[in-house]
Amino acid sequence: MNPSDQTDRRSFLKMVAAGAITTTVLMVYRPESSAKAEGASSVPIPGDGGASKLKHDYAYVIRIDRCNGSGACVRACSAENNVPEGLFRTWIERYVKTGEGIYVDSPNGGMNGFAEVKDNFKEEALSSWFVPKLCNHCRNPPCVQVCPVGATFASEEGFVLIDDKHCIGCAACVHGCPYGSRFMNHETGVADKCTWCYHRVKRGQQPACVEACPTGARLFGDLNDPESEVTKLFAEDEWLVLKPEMHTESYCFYVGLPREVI
Amino acid sequence: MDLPSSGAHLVRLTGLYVIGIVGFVFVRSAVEPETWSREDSYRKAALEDLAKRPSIHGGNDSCVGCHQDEEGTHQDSMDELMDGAHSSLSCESCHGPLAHHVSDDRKIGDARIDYTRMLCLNCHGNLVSLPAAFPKMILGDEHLSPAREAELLKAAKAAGKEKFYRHKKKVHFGMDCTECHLSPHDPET
Amino acid sequence: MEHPLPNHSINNFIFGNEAEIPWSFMIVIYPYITGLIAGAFVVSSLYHVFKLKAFAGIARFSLVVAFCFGIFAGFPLLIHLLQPTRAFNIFITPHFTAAMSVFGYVYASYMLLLTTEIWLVYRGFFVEKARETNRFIWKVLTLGVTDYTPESAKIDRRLINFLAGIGIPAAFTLHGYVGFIFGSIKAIAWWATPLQPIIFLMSAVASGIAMILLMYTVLTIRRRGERCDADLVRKLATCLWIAFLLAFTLEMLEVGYAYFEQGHHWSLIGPLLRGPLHESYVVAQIGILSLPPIVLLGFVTLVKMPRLLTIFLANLCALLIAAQVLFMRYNVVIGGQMISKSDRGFVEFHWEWGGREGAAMAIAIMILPFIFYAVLSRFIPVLGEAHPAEPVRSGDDRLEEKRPPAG
Repeated sequence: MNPSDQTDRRSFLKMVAAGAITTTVLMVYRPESSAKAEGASSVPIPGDGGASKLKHDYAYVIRIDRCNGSGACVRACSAENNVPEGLFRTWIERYVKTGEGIYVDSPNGGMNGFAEVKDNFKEEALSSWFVPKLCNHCRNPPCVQVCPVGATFASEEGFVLIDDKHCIGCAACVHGCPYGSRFMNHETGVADKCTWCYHRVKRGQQPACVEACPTGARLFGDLNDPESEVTKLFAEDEWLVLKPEMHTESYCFYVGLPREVI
Repeated sequence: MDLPSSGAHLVRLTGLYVIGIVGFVFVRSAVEPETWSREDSYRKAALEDLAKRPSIHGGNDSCVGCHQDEEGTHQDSMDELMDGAHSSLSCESCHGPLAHHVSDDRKIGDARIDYTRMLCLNCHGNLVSLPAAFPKMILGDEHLSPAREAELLKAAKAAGKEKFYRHKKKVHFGMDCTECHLSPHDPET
Repeated sequence: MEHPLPNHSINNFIFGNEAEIPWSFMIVIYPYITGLIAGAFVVSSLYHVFKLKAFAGIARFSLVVAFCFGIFAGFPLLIHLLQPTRAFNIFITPHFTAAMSVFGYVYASYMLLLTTEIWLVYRGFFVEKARETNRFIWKVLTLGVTDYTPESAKIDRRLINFLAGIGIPAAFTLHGYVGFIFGSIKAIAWWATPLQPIIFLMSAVASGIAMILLMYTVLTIRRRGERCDADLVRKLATCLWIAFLLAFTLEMLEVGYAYFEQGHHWSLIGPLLRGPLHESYVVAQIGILSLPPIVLLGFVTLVKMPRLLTIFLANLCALLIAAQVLFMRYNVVIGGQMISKSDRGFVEFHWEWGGREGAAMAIAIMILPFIFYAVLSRFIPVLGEAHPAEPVRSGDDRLEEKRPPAG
C-alpha cells in the first residue's frame, strides 16, 4: 500500500478514537441537573420526620402480642368494602409452633374467629399466636411495577390503590404481590385489595379494621405526626416487616413478630 | 403501454402505513383518559372516585346522640363501656355497621344484638394462641390436662386475671354469659 | 400430602386469596402460540436470511404458517381478560415498568412486518390473479398496481430479505417478552430466573420447527403428485435436534442450578417437583417427552436410514417435542401458581372442560390456526413450486423468462 493510504487510515483511526473518547466522557459526566436526579432517591425513607415532601406519611403498625384472633377486623373490612365471600382484603393467620414443625391455618380468613386448634396441639404447642395480614402498601410495590396499563398505582401519600375503571383484569398484579394481598374480584371484574380505607382516611376516619380491633393490635397513623401512636412505635424500632428480602419497602410494621412468620 | 415505476407499489404501501399510523395516533389520543398523568402513570381522577365511596362504619361517636328522649340511650351505653374493661371496643364490632342501621338520619334496620355466649367466646374463648395476658374463659366442661391448667393459671396470675378461672366451677357449655353478666358493656358489673 | 412441605410446615397452608389460580389454560396456550410463530419464522429465515438453499421450498410455507398462528395469538388473552372491552388500554397507557405492557405494540408491529413480508412474497401472484380474474379482491391486494416488472421484483426481494432479517429479533421480542414477564416476578420462585426469556425462546424455536416438520409431512404425504422430501425432513430434524438440545439444556440448567444452590428457590421448587408437579414435569415433560426425542433425533441426524423410517422417526420426535413444549408451558404457568406465597403449602389446580378458561376453549383456539391455513391455502399457493412471478434470489434469471406479458 502507498504512504497516502497509511496516512488516511491513521487519521481515520484517530478521528474514531477521538469520537469514542468524547462520547464516553460526555456519557459519564453528564450536566448537573440529571446527575442530581440520579442521586436523589424517589422513595422517601420511612419516618424521616417530614423531610420527604409528602404531606402525610401514612403507615400501619400491628402488635402481635395484642391480637386475640377475634376476627372483628375481617368482618368490619368485609362490610365496609363489599368484599366477596371467600376473598380477603385482610385476614388473620394462626400459628402453632410444635416440636415437629409449624402449623398455620386461617379458617375463612379468621372471619368467624377461631375455634380451638386440634386437641393434640393444645397440649403440645410450644407457642402460638395470631398474625393479622393485609396489603403492606409498599413504597416499592411489585404489584404496581407489573401492571401493564397503570391501573394500580401508588398515590403521593403512600396508598397503593386500584383504578377500577382502568383495570383490564389480567391478574398480573396478583402474582406480583409476594404477600398474597391481592385478588381478582369476580363481582366487579377487576383486581382488588386493601386500600387502607382510603375513602375513610380522606374524611379523617380510621380504617375500618383499626376501628374494629378490640385490643388495639392494629394501628394506623401519619409518621409525619409526632403525636401519633404509630410514630412512637415506629421510633422504638422494635419492628420487622414481612419478606424483607423481596425489597418491597413494606409500610406495614409488625411489633413482636416471631421469626416463623412468613 | 408505460409500465408503472418499479417502486409504485411500495409508495402505495407506505401511504397505507402512514394513514394507518396517523389514524392510530389520533384515535389513541382521543381515548386517552382525561386526567391521565404520563409522569406518574395513573389516572388522577381515580383518587376522587375512590374517595367518594361511602363510609359504612361511623365510629363510636356516631352512635351516641340518638334516642335522646327514651330510656337507655346510646350515650348511656357508651358511658358504661368507657367505665369498664371493654373501653377499647368499637360499638359496631358487636352491633353491626352504622350504614346497616341508619341512613339519612333515619333508621333502616335493627342493630344486631347478640346475647348468646358465642359473641363473648369469640374473643374470650380459651384458645392456645391468645396472648398470655389476655383474659380467657375456661369453662366447666373443658378437658384440660393438669399441666396445661397449671400453666394457664400461672399466666393468669401473672397478668392479674386470675378471677377468670372461677368460671370453671360454675359455668357449663349450655349457659350464656349474659345470664350473669347483665351488661356486656361493663362485664364486671 | 406425602411430600415434605417447605419451611417446617406440618400442614398444607395457603392464603385465602390463593385458592383459585388466576392464570389457567389461556395463559398456557398463549406463549405456546407465540412460540410457534417465532419458531416458524426462524425456519423461513433459514432460507431468506441465512441463504440455506435446502429450506427454500418451505420458506414461504413457514411464513404462512407463522401468519396463521399469528392471527390467533391474541385470542387467548382477550378471553382471559376480565375486562376485554378495555383491552385497547395496552395501546393507550402502556406501563413500561411491566414487561407485559409492550404486548400491544410488539404484537401489532410484528404482525405488520409479517403481513408485509408475505404480501411482498405473493404480490406477483396477486397481480397475475388480478389480470386473470379481474375480481375486486385481487385488485385490492395489488394495491392497484397491476403490473409486475423484474425491477420491482428485485426491490421486493431486497425488502423481503431486510424484513426477514429484522423479523428475527422482532419475533424473538414477541415471544421473549413473555419469558421476561415470568422471569421478572420475584414473588414466584419457579418463575424468577434470568434464564426464563432464553428458555422460552429456545423451546419456542424447537416447537416451531417441530410444527413445520409435522405440517409439512401431513400436507405432502396427502397431496397427489407431491412427494414428501425426506432429505428436507432430515435437515429439519437436525435443526430440531439442535434447537431442542439447547432448550433442554437451558431448562435443566435452571433447575440444576437451583438444586445445587440449595437456597430459597430450591426450598420451594424441590417440594413442588417432588409433589404436585411430579407427574407432569418429571415423568411427562422430561421422562417421556424430552429424553426419547433427544436420543431418537440423534439417530435421525447421525445415522443413515431408509427414507420412510427417517420421515417416521422425525415426525414422531416432532410430535413429542411439540407436546413437550406445551407441557413446559403448562408446568411453568400452573406450577408457579401452585407454590403458595405463604411458603408453606401448595395450591391445587382445578381445571374444567367448559367455561372461559376451560380445556375445550383451549383446544378450539389451538385448532383455529389449522382451519385458517386450510382455507387460506385454497386461495393462495403455499406448498409447492415458487410461483413464476415470485421474487427469487437476485441473479436468478428464471424470473426473466417467465415474466407475465406487459399490457
